[in-house]
Amino acid sequence: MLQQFRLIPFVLGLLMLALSVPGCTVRYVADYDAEVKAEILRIAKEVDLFWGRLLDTHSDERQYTKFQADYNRIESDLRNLVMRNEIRPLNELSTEQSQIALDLWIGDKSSHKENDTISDFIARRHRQQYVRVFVAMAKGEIAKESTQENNN
Amino acid sequence: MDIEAILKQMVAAANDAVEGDVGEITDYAKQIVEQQKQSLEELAKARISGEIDDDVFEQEVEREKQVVKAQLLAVQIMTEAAAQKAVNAAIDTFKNAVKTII
Repeated sequence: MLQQFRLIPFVLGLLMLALSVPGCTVRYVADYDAEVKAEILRIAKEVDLFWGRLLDTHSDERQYTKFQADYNRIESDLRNLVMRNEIRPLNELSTEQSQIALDLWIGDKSSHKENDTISDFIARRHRQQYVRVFVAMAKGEIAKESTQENNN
Repeated sequence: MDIEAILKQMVAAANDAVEGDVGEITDYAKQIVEQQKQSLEELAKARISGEIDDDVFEQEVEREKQVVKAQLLAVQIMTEAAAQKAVNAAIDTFKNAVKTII
């Protein structure tokens, strides 16, 4: 009986919390956006194709200018992804993830421009790292999707 | 009003809501560690064999840190999403229990 009395403030606190939150639910992550998830997968494919094409090119023929258009197009796609993440409330973590992908891409572009080539070792390594980053971004979106399934 | 029974229902609802999430988060965290290990091993071999110089080695170590950071951010999002589901499931259970009494 005494134990029940001790629990009353806790239960009342929860009641107040439940009644004070609009819609009586809490939100820690952004709402799921199917278009953003599709965009992550689309850019991931573009980036993978880029590295595949670069690796298919002989190392003596990997001049920056041959890949410049692809670098710029993918950079623009990644900037757009950062912006789309940034404008969504409660989405700071996903924004940071996409900013990392953009920073890595800009780093690759600058390095290629400076050296005018990329070794097989670096190309294979970076290709794999982008897969890890895009999978991480997609996992973040899938986690948000699961909260909406739960709400419905 | 059986407060203890309501609390048990709330805990059960929170557990049910995140049943699959805990295992998924743990598995992904293990995968991150394994991928980082493989990546650093590959990098060390390349430096030892002379395939890359010190500058490239340092740049690649910094780059690997960024990749792992992006992966750990995913773990954080997955954890926050699971917490959101658990708290909301508990609140829903509590509300339904109170409504039943009223």
